[in-house]
Amino acid sequence: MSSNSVCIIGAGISGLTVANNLVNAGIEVTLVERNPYPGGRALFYGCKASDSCVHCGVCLIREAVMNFRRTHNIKSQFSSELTGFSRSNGEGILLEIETHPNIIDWRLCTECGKCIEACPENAVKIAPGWKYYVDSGCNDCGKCVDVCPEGAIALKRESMRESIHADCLVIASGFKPFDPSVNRKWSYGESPRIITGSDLEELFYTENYLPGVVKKSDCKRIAFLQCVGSRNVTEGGEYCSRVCCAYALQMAGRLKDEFPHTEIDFYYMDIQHFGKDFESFFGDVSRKVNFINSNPITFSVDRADRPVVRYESITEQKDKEEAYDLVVLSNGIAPGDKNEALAKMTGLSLDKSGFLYAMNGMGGVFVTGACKQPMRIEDCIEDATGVTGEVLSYLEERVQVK
Amino acid sequence: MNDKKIVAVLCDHGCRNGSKIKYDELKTNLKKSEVIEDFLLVNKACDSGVEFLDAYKGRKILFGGCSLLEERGIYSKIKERLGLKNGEFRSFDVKADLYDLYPDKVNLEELLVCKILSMGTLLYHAEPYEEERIKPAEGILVYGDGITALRTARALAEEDISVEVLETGEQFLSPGLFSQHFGRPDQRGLSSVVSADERRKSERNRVAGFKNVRFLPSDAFLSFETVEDGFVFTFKSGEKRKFGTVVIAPEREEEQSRETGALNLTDLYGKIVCGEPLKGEVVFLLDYAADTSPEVFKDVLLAGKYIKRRFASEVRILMKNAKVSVSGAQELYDECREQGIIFFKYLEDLTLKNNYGDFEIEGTDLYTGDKFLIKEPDILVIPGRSILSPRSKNFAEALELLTISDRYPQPDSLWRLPNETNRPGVFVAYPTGDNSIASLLFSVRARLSTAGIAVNEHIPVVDEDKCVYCLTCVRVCPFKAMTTDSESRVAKVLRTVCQGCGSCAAECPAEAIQLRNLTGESLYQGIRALG
Ligand SMILES: Cc1cc2nc3c(=O)[nH]c(=O)nc-3n(C[C@H](O)[C@H](O)[C@H](O)COP(=O)(O)OP(=O)(O)OC[C@H]3O[C@@H](n4cnc5c(N)ncnc54)[C@H](O)[C@@H]3O)c2cc1C
Ligand code: SF4
Ligand code: SF4
Ligand code: SF4
Ligand code: SF4
Ligand code: SF4
Repeated sequence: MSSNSVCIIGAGISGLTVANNLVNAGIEVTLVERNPYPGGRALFYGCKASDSCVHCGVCLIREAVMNFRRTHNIKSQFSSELTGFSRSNGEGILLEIETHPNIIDWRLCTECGKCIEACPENAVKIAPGWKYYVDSGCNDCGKCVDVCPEGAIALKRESMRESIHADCLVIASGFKPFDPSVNRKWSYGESPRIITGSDLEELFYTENYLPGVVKKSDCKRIAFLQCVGSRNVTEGGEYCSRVCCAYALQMAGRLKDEFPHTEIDFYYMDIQHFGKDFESFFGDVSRKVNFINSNPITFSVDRADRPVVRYESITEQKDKEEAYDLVVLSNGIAPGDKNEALAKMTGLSLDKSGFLYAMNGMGGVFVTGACKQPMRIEDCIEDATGVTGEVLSYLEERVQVK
Repeated sequence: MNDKKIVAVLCDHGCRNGSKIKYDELKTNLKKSEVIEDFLLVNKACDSGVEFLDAYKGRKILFGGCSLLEERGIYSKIKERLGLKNGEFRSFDVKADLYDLYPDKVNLEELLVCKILSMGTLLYHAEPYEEERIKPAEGILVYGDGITALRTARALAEEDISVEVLETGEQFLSPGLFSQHFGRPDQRGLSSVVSADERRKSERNRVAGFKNVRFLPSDAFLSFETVEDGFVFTFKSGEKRKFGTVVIAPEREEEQSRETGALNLTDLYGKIVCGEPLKGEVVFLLDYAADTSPEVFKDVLLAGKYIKRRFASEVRILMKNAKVSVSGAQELYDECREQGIIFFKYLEDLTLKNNYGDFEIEGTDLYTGDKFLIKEPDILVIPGRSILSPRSKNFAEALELLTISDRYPQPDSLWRLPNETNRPGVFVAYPTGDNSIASLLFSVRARLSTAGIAVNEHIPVVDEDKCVYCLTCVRVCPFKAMTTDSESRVAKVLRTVCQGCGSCAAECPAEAIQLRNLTGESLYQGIRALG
């Protein structure tokens, strides 16, 4: 039995950072990821650079995925989840991993792109920096199977269960974006002109910047609404999500560059500092965006199908209404849906908001990244680097004890 | 020069459009070249094994394939099997390096001929070389006086790494992290409030107890010089010492308040530590002298809460934004409001009148829209900008670190390892985050444990006879890899630092610089070969 093996749950930026660092230090790594591709939530975010890079960190994820691809000695299990955890008497940890293989076997796929052309349902997708996979839009027509020169596609694959042994477990299972449809207040879903920050990130990724219904030529007004699902116990978490001021301001700045004639209103409670060069960034963006310090009271859709925001104007001392072509709900970070199950399985506890509480090193279980508290990508990298150090120390101590 | 000719191999698997290639045409064109000895087409190089290359032992190989070949380790297998050194093998990714870069209209054969000829010519002229690695020198220098420097030193010492601590000699209370300075009042009870200075002293005693930690006399260093395996410091005593790694734990300092009579946070801490009563009306004016950061905001909340409880004072906090984006700050903010600390969010029209220390603050509260007027508060605290302390700044400048404004000795926040700077071997330790010391330790250990720093294939070679010692190269090198050598009066490259970018070669007025394995001649011939 190898004495140094580490299993990592989640291949987001946090998990990938730990994996890449550990492999460089000569440790055997197994990466277990629920999606059929690595990269986590932020893989489909877009670059927010305006005149110059604004340090949003998104390209670091692509870089981590590329690095990971080049490292052929990481054992990776995609489309897999952790289903069992037990301690094997002084010999580390026994884990049970369940895999529901994707229709495309990533190990065989050579990225020729034939399947993407053949698929009538547009169900074949490509993960940036990675390979092709099939999402839930697939209707089992089998057209892709016929064209794949590699025999990499099979419509029905059996689920597998496997037990693996590890000395350490690192949980980097990330977060869930807050879903505003849980509260009618946000009218999310009632108009295609009301979208979330997550939706806008995806539009940035495809470099469309605006949803299809909004015509580029006559998009005159855009509103950003901050703290959606954060800092309000009745509507989400009590905590501040720490990422939404940053991404929303960066995206607003980019939009203004892309569509100089669009007016952008920014409804906020408090603007949070982020990054080491916040001051110069903020100075730049405040010339592009109108700040409105108010929490909108209600939300409706007018006859022209445009969203209308009703808010209390402090400067004018009265309630006001404004109609927009596009409203962006800057949704925050909510605890991952598997946190409870993971905590139960591994004996960790949850904090009162539902994030994993990290007592790093206890019994060889470590927690890193956005599953323990809201974090931005650069914070995840720092945290994951630190946790790698702790894992290495833990492994060394174990060897000494033996 | 060397006369090993090139064998170009192309993987022609369907997955890469390769099957559309007109092989004969390609081969005829390539055979015209002087440098290409043979051209092979393989099908599915990823699966076919590498034995077929055995017939070409002793040649240089240029391989065009897809990313899978690297991913599955095929290239390393080829190099191993044929015993190829660096400079005898090169590969390119047909899709990423060619097809993706050019639209479909371009003729595939032409693209491939260009690529193979240009890369082949470079490879033909390349000198085989053993990969050179230079190990960083032993010895770690930790620069700084504060708790972060001491903790870093201790963490390294605990890992059996010897450290030397160069203190700045500036002993002030740095702003930020009230919780670090005073413990958490509500967790430990007010009686156990410990001052930062005491904590620093006790940490220093603890660190001094380690055999492998040495304290250097403060402010002892006169000058420093970068060498290939580290940094050489000259001390006042005349002693010269080499360190392979430097950690800078920058002390931060809070700017003095510009309003006479007002305190900054550092002054306030001083008063708390000395046990001065802070009675009456205590007003904090945030976002005024500088945009308050979340860490400082949390500190203000902790300080405010402490003062309110300890002295039953009236505490008011004036701000533009509540910076609650650090862990636990939102809860603390809510708690402070419940406990009767009064918050005003002020609008742009705030005015501050200072009559020899008697203040008058007038503004509009954003929540209510009402005007407020605060007259002659007993204590007014205006947190200042937190900046690098002058000596830390000088140190960072001496090491030629790029800084962000005057606050961080790092060019931007997007380094792969969060503690890295623009100078390989110099790391920054920050007192932020639970994991910052751990992540620093990881970076340092990674530097110590590598087989050494690889020397770039294209490092410059300076022609001693041609160099006129004008030092243009020293000025233009973006990585500060060129240095002077006053004895020989020829520019000298630091091989561990150079990234092979070629700026120096391009700018040298005497044309004295050639890059290894990337000579002008080979480029020229490459272009000619394309005809
Ligand atoms: C709308 C929005 C915009 C943002 N924009 C930015 C930005 O511009 N810049 C920035 O720095 N940050 C941004 N962030 C924050 C950023 O998304 C996070 O910091 C980052 O994605 C966290 O990375 P992670 O690896 O910790 O978690 P994740 O990215 O969530 O990755 C976790 C991975 O674990 C997998 N996983 C989860 N549970 C299991 C399980 N049980 N078994 C196996 N695998 C599992 C998941 O599939 C996922 O791949 C944004 C956040 C939001 C909500
Ligand atoms: S803006 Fe973001 S994605 Fe774009 S270059 Fe900068 S860090 Fe990378
Ligand atoms: S057809 Fe097969 S090899 Fe080509 S991209 Fe699709 S799955 Fe991959
Ligand atoms: S980061 Fe900004 S938008 Fe997000 S919860 Fe915090 S204050 Fe609200
Ligand atoms: S630029 Fe050229 S001539 Fe001038 S010092 Fe450098 S190598 Fe010598
Ligand atoms: S090649 Fe580039 S990095 Fe190297 S010495 Fe010249 S300018 Fe500096």
